[in-house]
Amino acid sequence: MSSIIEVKDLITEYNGERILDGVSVDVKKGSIFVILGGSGCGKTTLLKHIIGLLFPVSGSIKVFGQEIVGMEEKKFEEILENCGMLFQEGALLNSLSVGENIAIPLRQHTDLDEEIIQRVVRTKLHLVELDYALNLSPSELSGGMKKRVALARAIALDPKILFCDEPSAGLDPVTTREIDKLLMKLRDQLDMTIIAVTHVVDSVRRIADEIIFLDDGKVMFTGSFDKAEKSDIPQIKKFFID
Amino acid sequence: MANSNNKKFVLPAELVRENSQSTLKEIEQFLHSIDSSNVEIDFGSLENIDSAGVAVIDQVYELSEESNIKINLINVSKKIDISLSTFSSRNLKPIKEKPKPKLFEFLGESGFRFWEHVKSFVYLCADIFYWGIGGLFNKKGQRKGEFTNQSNLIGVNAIPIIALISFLIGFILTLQSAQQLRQFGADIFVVDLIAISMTREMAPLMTAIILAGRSGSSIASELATMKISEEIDALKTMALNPIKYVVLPKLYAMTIATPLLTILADAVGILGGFVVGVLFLKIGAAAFLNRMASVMVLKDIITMIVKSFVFSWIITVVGIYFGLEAKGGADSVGKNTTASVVTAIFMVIVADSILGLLFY
Ligand SMILES: Nc1ncnc2c1ncn2[C@@H]1O[C@H](COP(=O)(O)OP(=O)(O)OP(=O)(O)O)[C@@H](O)[C@H]1O
Ligand SMILES: [Mg+2]
Repeated sequence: MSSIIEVKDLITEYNGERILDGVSVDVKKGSIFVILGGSGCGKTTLLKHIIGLLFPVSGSIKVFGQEIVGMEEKKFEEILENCGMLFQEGALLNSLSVGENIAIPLRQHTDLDEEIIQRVVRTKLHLVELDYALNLSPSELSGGMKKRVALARAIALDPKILFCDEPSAGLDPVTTREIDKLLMKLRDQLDMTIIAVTHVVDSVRRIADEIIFLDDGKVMFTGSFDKAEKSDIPQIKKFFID
Repeated sequence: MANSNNKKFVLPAELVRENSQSTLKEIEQFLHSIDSSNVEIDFGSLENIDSAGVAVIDQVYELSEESNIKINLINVSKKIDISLSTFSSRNLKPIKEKPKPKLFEFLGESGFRFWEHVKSFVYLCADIFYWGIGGLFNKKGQRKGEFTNQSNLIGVNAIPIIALISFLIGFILTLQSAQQLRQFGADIFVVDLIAISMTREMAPLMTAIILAGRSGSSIASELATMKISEEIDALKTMALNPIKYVVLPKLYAMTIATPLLTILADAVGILGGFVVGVLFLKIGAAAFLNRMASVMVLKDIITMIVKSFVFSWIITVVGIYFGLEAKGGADSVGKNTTASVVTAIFMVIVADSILGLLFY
């Protein structure tokens, strides 16, 4: 399997404070890659760098084999059209209905007819089991529902890479399992590469092909779930003990 | 409760937030009043302690260490002991303190930050200009139907308030100046005054100020909200340029609406003057209109239109800038909205003065 994302020696700062201190990551195409780590260790920060929302102090980030640090905007937009991102807080556009939110990428990047767009929108809503929410406004949704709508929006264009910042935080175990199944389906049937941040150990066990564990700005561990569970690095041990 | 004879302080039955402060005072007094280096604090009758109470005990420890008194806690029950260790503040990690900047550092830093603001403002203007022109020819990446929507919000909905205020201003301006002019028997010149001042100054300025309060603030607060709830970031990850998607419809709507509203303000303001002239000053409708036609020149109208365009861009760009500058939590939405209105009105008045000189 070939690499679809390669991050090398990434160093990032917020206002002069070091957050990531030499992080290297290698994500294989068509796999589910899970980022673990304590709250505030920089998981969201890592995702935001890979998707170009933040710029590193130094280091290299390659997506689809192309270096994106310092890439010109036009070219980067082409990469983005093949990526979807689920934000930790959903980040739905509050002025648009649920259906319109999901339709944004379809309207902007395709010339599909309205009927087709509506069909795609409703299919995606169905995948996250929120068929009935089509015409609701984001302010009428619960936190977990917002998350799921945001996931539907992130996969509206069947991206090649999907970034998920805590897809199942705030969801009940049953819905969490459904979301996990959906992510695995996307991987298996569409060959989607998924990079997910999650704290739910059961969920990691189910979906992860590969895991990295961040601590103190560094990658403490890389490998499979089984290997992680048997690891004797103290931080990781703590993570898996209930 | 202080019992200074045997150097023992007996705590009351409860040490909770209601009596913590007063108990701390009592213990302090007790520590001052004794001259021993060994003191006992008796927990025997204490049944209930909360986190404020534990903080008091910790504080006492620290005080006693400073004055070299050794404290012994006696008769501590199991339950109280658990509370003591749970809420203890004695072994907390030291907090990283940000070093306070010295005066020159502070000045340098403020200057630097101001310069950064100016720079990003200029970049934003360039961006908006670039996409603004480009967007006229290429509608891709713009939100469909949003221009109409914004035109209604910014333009159509502002008609009543702008008409009302302009009418009142025209009315009052004429009334006030008529009294002065009448002393010289120069009633008819009130027409010159109202027609020219309304057209060149009042109509564009009042419209701009109302729009800064109405639309500039709503642009700033909408963008600020979108910024802090990561909606702007979400747009970027969908390969949408937030300037094109969110900002351009507002810019276009403002550019069209402001001159039209200014013309409306001008007409209604002069109408206010006309009403005063005809009803109170008995100038006569025909005389009023003839005089107006003879004093107004094309330059007055051009001045008005140019001003209204410039003001519309100032209001929009300032609103967008302060909106996108929002950082952190919901409080920055309010702060930045206020800042955008104040800055926009200030810059409109500065621009008005400059244009006034240019078109003098
Ligand atoms: N906009 C910001 N400005 C300054 N510091 C920030 C900002 N965003 C995050 N940080 C800091 O960066 C660090 C990493 O944040 P990040 O959001 O990446 O954590 P995380 O691993 O995603 O945590 P969580 O699991 O709680 O979501 C935190 O210590 C936080 O204080
Ligand atoms: Mg996070």
